[in-house]
Amino acid sequence: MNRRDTGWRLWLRFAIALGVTLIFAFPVYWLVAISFKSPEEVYAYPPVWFPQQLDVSSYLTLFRDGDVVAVWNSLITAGISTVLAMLVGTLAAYSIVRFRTGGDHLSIWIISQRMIPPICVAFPIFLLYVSWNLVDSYVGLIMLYTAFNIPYVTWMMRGYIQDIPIELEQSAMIDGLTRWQVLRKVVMPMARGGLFATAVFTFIFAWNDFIFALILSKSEVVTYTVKVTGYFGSQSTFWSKISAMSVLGVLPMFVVVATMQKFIVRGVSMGAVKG
Amino acid sequence: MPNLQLDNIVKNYGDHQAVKGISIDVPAGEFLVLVGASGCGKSTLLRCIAGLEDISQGTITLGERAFNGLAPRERNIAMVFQSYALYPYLSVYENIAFGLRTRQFAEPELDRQVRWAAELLDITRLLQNTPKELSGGERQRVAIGRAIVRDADLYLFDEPLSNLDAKLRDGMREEIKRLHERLDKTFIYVTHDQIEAMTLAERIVLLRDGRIEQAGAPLELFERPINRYVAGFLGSPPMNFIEVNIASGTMTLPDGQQLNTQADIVDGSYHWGVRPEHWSHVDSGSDTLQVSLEVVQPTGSRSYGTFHLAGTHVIAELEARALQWSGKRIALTVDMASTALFDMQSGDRVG
Repeated sequence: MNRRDTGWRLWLRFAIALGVTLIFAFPVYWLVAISFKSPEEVYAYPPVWFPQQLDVSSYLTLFRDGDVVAVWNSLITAGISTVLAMLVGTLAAYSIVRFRTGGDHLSIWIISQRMIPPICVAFPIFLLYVSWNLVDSYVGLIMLYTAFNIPYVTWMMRGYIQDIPIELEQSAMIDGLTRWQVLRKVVMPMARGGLFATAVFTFIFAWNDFIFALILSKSEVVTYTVKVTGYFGSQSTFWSKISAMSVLGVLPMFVVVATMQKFIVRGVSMGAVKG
Repeated sequence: MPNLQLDNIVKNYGDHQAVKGISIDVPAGEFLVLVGASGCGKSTLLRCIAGLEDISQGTITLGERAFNGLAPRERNIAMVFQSYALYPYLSVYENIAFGLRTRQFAEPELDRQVRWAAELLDITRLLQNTPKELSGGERQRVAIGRAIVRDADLYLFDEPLSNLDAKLRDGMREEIKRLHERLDKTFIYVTHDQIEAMTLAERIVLLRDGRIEQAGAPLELFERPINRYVAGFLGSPPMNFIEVNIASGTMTLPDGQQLNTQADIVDGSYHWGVRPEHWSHVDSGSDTLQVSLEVVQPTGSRSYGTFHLAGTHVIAELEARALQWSGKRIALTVDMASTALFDMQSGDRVG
């Protein structure tokens, strides 16, 4: 934006920006719009672009029937697994970088775990969970998401930790810090941007998961992604419930990304420069 | 204040031996400089003292305390790194206070110490800045401040001036020397720069390939080097080495000119070491050579003239007005008593 555009060039640039924004924003708008429409408006043809009044009955239904618990379930499983994966992955990455744990190739091996298509392991894991009695439980999903995210966290944090000059840590150790204190007072602040960015993506992965949640849950621990599909009936499809539930599911992500935007942009571009 | 004793230190990296059995006693309060070309093991040795590297063999003791097996934080040392190693997310004040906070100093005491160090290094006005806002010289002051603010038994410096430009380096060198005099603590300073070594050290330890080549006071090493390597390492421009033949007290230079030398030297071939400053433009009759000056480089106060003796390139330090002799044949007298003879094979000094 350092070139000073004038006249029609500025307008053209502005028009294109507006067009692109509309294309990306429209589905989100449509989702939110449907969730506030009355049943007649949902099925109306030609479509109703703007709901006449905000009909919150879909939301009320979700709360009355207790379906919102699904969002809570997603929050619990994604949240706790993110914390666990960050903890284990960051420590693993630190160990790989600073103690050369596992030699030069351990991190490659770890990230290779992430390349397996999830569906390949879904059914073996289901059978395992059946025998361990972990189907339809928080612990089961949290363990799974944690396991799946540790490679990603390890890989990303490895890059961020490599960028920290080792003299900073050595200087701190000479100044009287233990290894753990160095982690907390030097490594964490130095890798703060990377930590936040990685945590957000880890959270998004668990939050958006559908396949494992579908296979490993029955009725107790149902996440919002699975709950939404339940509204597609063989007789009728509850569009307003689907959209209301989806809005509730998008909302936490929206909050996370909005508050962490600065770190995400910096974290992603940092990772892009260094592998 | 305790003495530091290094006893037969060995450091191996796999098959490679970086430090090959070094023993040094450092009396309390000494300014010791470890100097040598890159790869000589000087930084490794310093890092072993700091505890950042484990030693493969030998013992390090400070006073009554054995350092072997102690973590860096248990050694009560302070260290200044070449790259400054400042925490970018902390202010200058907090950077200096870092070690004190770790050791749980009370706030008033901590504040007094930080301000004392900042005053000493003339960085009081920078205390609230972040390291990013400082110049290289200012960052180095902060790094030194962080080290001296702590009452350590031993202060280690790992090439602290290498990232600074020449002018700043001269200034900081003087400050570090003054700092040592004020603090009266043991300093161990690593550098590859022989000028830093000469100007700062009370004692120089010159390392080569993981071994001590020679240790002693700067002028001792400079005037009485025990071998050709030490002689060539110290001094700028470096000592000239000229291949000569000695037979019954007469030295024959490559171009056939002859000089009288000590009578007790065994006949044979030697490297004759002459520092640039041992030549002078006077025709005293004896100890005099006729040379053709090729290039004269005036530096202001002195000039450096170069000539060849047959194939050997020689630099002589001459007076400022030497430029007029460029391209001419002149007589140069050698201060024979200051020159040295080195064995051709071993490089050891023989006379």
